[in-house]
Amino acid sequence: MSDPPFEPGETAGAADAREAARTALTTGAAGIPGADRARLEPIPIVGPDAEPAGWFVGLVDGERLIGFIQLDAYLAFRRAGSFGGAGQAAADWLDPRRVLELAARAMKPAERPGRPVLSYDTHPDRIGWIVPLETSDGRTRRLMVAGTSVFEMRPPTGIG
Amino acid sequence: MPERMDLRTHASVELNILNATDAIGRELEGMKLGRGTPIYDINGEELFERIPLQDSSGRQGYTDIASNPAMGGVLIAVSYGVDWNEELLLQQAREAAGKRLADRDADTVRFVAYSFPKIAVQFLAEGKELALLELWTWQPVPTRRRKREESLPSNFERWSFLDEQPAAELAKRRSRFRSRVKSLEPLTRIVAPIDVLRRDRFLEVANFSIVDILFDRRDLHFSSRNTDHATCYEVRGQQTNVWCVGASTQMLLDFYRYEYTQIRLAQELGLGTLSNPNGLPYSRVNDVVTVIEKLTSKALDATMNTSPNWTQFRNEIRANRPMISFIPGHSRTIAGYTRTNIVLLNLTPFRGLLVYDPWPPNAGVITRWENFDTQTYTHAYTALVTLV
Repeated sequence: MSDPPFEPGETAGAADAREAARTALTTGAAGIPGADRARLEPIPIVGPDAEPAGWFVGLVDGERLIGFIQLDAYLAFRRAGSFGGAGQAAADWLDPRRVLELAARAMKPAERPGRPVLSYDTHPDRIGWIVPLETSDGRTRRLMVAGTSVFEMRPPTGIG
Repeated sequence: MPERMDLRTHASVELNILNATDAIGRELEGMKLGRGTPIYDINGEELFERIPLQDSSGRQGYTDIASNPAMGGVLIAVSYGVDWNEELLLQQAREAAGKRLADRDADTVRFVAYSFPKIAVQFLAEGKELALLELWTWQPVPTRRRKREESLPSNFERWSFLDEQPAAELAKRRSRFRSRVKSLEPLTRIVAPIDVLRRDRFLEVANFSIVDILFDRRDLHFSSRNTDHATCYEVRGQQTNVWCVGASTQMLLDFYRYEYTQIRLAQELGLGTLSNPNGLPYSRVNDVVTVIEKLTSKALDATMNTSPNWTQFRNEIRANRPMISFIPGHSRTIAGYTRTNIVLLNLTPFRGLLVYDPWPPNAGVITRWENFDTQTYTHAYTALVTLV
């Protein structure tokens, strides 16, 4: 597995996603305090079978992620959310390099990471970055990084 | 029948809402409500009151406000550009009646909807009709036909709004009227009758914004009183990646001030331990009911619903009760709802739920709003406080 390539610039469709998110903010579908001042940063969501599964549009104020708009694959409004507790660092959700740093905490010495992809666990609302791992002898496993939480992805065992 | 003052308050609130929302432009701004005239059915029961409207510049109009629930709504009509002067009309009616009254004195003169909404002036002596003259044309309205050839009345014929409609239709109309009166209650309680229609004044006194008019919306409060503080609810992040049911149960119990840890709840729900957790198998979804009731000594009466719909979510929030909601593979709680009241361009009204989602682990997300029409709801759990 090669080092993850990070191209500068936006993914195709990001401008449309940003516009759709902006519309959601102005029509009142989202009720997130401070959202009107936030920078909108869209990231494509990829489903378990590598199919497009929508967009996660981060609402960024300085270094903080104050919330997000989630759109489906057709850019329809799915939901708007803000985080509980002390909130989240924007980089934890929006910067793949930071995601790799977080994943490293749960990696074994012989494992090498592949390119992180924003995806979900079981249901599209359980959003997080999937980081594929591979060892030199070909064994693989996947980590999920959801904010600062990192865990190994396993087959679902019911409702969780 | 509503009391006179209620009727006037209804008129004030209904017209102020129309004026505040620009639903009929700014035609009503500055208009003042005058003294109303009761309008009767042919059978003698009062139907509605016609209230004149006028502003300081001389603009005039009138509104019809139901006094009889069978009208099916509170506000029947608003007209502007036309004067309603009860005394002048009665004088004109007396002059037009002339010889018809002969030497007999009418002991009762009243306005009658002889063919709703067409109105006439009726002269009565000891309950017997002396004359019934159509408003403004002053033509005598023909006597009532014993049997009508057509099913519907002709263009100049008296018929009773109350006696000639099927009972089921009248029952539906009464029900619609009562629903409307009930929905106006919060405003009629806090808005003293405002006789002058002023948008800014009404919004200030009613203490709501245009958002309140455009949306049917509620979050959990301290109690079912909307004046109590909101939002009285907290999100709990799931402590492992498979403890969403434990975290959801914790949120619901925390609302009722039961402070169980997620570790304890996981133990009760059979979700393993922090170091070796597991999700809730679909075969054990009813355990949520059992655990809520057990851990509250049945102070909470929990119920599982396998086909939750919008009405149930809305009703629970209006009763100030959070719910646990399962979607495929995941569990969250519901703490509010919103729905657009005004439909634009034939678009389906937006329906959203306020979701307290325990994902991501150790943080959780407050989703405001989740598009109800794009989600799949598999199970919902209600919990009612058991009263003695």
